[in-house]
Amino acid sequence: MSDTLSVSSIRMAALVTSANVGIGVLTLPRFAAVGAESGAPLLTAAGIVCGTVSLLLLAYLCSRHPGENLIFFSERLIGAPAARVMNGLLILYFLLVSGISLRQFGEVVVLVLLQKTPMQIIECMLLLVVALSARRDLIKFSFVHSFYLPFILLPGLFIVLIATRSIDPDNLLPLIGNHRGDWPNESVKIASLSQMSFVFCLLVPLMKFPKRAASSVAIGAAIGGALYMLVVLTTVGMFGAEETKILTYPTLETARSASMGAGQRLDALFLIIWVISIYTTIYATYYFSVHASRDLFRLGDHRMFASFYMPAVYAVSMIPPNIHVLYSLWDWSGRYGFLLTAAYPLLLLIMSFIRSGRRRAHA
Amino acid sequence: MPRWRRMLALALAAAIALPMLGGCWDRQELEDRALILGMAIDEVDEEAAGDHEHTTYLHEPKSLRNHRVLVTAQIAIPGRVPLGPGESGGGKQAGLPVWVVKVTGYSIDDALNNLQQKIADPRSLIHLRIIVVSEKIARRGMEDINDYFRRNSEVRRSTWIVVSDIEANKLMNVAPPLERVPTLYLLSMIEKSVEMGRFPPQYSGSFWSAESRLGQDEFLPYVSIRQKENILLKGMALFRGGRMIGHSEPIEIGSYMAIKGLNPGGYSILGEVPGIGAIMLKSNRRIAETKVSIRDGKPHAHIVVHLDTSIEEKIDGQSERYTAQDFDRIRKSMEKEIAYFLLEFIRKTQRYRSDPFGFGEMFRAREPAYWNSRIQSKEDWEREYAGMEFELDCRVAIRREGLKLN
Repeated sequence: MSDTLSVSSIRMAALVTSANVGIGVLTLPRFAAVGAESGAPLLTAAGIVCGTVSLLLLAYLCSRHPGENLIFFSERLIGAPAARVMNGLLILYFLLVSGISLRQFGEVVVLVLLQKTPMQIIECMLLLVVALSARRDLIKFSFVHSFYLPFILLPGLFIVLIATRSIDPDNLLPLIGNHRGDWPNESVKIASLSQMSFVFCLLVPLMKFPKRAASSVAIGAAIGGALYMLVVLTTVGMFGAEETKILTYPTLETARSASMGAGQRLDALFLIIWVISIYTTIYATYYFSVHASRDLFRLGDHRMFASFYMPAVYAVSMIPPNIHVLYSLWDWSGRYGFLLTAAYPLLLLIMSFIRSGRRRAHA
Repeated sequence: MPRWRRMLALALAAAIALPMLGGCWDRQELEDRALILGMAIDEVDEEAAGDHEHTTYLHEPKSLRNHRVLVTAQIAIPGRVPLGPGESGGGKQAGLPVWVVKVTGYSIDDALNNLQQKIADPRSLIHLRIIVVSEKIARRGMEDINDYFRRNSEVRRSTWIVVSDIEANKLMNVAPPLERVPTLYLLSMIEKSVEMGRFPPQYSGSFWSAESRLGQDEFLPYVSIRQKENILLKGMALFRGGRMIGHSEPIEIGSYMAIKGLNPGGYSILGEVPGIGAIMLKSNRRIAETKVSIRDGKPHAHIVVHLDTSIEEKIDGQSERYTAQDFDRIRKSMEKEIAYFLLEFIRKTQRYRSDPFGFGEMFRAREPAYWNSRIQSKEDWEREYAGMEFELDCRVAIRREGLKLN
């Protein structure tokens, strides 16, 4: 029934924002501070621009092929065998990302919220919720994201704006940091956070006006990026780069330090919105794997995969023995994942140009 | 048939979900935990410390020999802590609403483990509001103490850490008539000082952030006890390289806040004005601008401090009535006097090679070329700070003089 509905431009933007804002929120200020010290906001901006450009390329590519989704048209563009390998890699990458995100979620909850609950149970509960909701179709998937978006954005903005009172501008100077960091590498790491919304490429064919995909994605990515920027600005501005480097979850400390009047701390509110944002992010990455698998294997229904991938994601989340391994895995997957998710659409876009050029030349 | 099966599946799902939704694992009754409200940390010598508890080690760790600390914890007794003004909270007859427990150990965690061996309920630091550290411990170095409290996710960054010039555990017993819970009195004393502009909001979070920065040294409130039951805010405990190295006078807290431009204003200044007499000026608002530059390869700061003040008291006055001219004279002579003692405080910190103001951070932010070439570590900045040059202008505005005109 809902297949007759279409995805509006606004809902598309909402999807991109809510998928992008997620696992990075807690740790991004630390990565940025380690990468560029007081230049953290600029580094974050560079990363976000980088990620957004790659999303825009993808959106433009999809809007050139409005009738079908990435999995299908890629096979026409670069040939079925190569495309299948690449699409398979994408599916695996997003399963990996789901698993690592799940583990990060579990680590934080066990450390600060539920100290006695086994992490396995926490992860299983979230995975179960994600897998159950991943059984829904694409339209409902987009509804879920636009429904939760206000719950992520508004309280998040509220907390960040309260925390801005304690910013010391000197903490954010010099703008490029005192020492030369590894900017290309670090910004790619941040750019990979934007790739969580890669799934939108499956929804473009369902849009009423697929031509507007690029502008929706631009708006969505800009809003998500702005929130990330604010988080980095307030956190580094509040603690200073040196302190941010040694905090495991700097944003959580920001929320814990931001208080309204006497003794009312905002960390509870923050953790609630954080759980929602993690859910929408893992939902987006997991959903991509599930739905792309259906199209890759040319099956009529994706629900089987929704259950089938659960153990795999859970297994991935159990691989890292400690958080240092977890974050180096996250680093590694971010770097190569960004290469995959940015270069592959670019390749397809070039092929798309060549093919349409040839078609025109023939005509 | 399918309907029947659906119902069964639903019932099954509900049955599975039910125990999960309860959150049973982390269920914790308020009465079943030992809420530590305050903690005092003292040095203790090996004989006085008594027997080893052997809770966390079998053989004494060599690197920690003679390193034992005495931790005095105030544990809230549920039901006896008064919750509101109307509640009697058990009254004085029932004794203190807190239970004071003393334990020793090689580290904070070792001591807290020993504590756990002695009490039934699991200890909890979520309501820890204040940590008192004795000066001896602070002079030995705060590194170990900071490490434990920073790592623990229950401890908030809005906890206060206070240095006391006497044994810290004595402060755990100070219970003046104004407040029934000793820790809460100490806490409200410091928090109200912040509200009244008598101390900067230097929570443990700001203390730790300052400790991490290369261009700033940390400081803490420095307190003492007078007449057994009075807590005195004695100044700022100044640190260098993680160790306390000295302290300021109480009025120098005001100097610090003036140089940093921290509001609200709170300190009063007693000054002698020639021809007019001794005057008490209360600062109501402080504004400060600092410009940093490099002159002849040396760091230099030009500070302009504006103070909005009012006349609170005049002693031995000769003038019949103030005129605008008198105000000018008071203003000018006070400006000189205040500028002098603001600079005196800066010189004092320079002698200590401890920069609580964070001038170094200003150089890092605004003069990165100088900073990057000269400063590699915190010690580098502390050395540079000792030779830093200052220029200070003080501008005083007298806004009002109360209900009396002479």
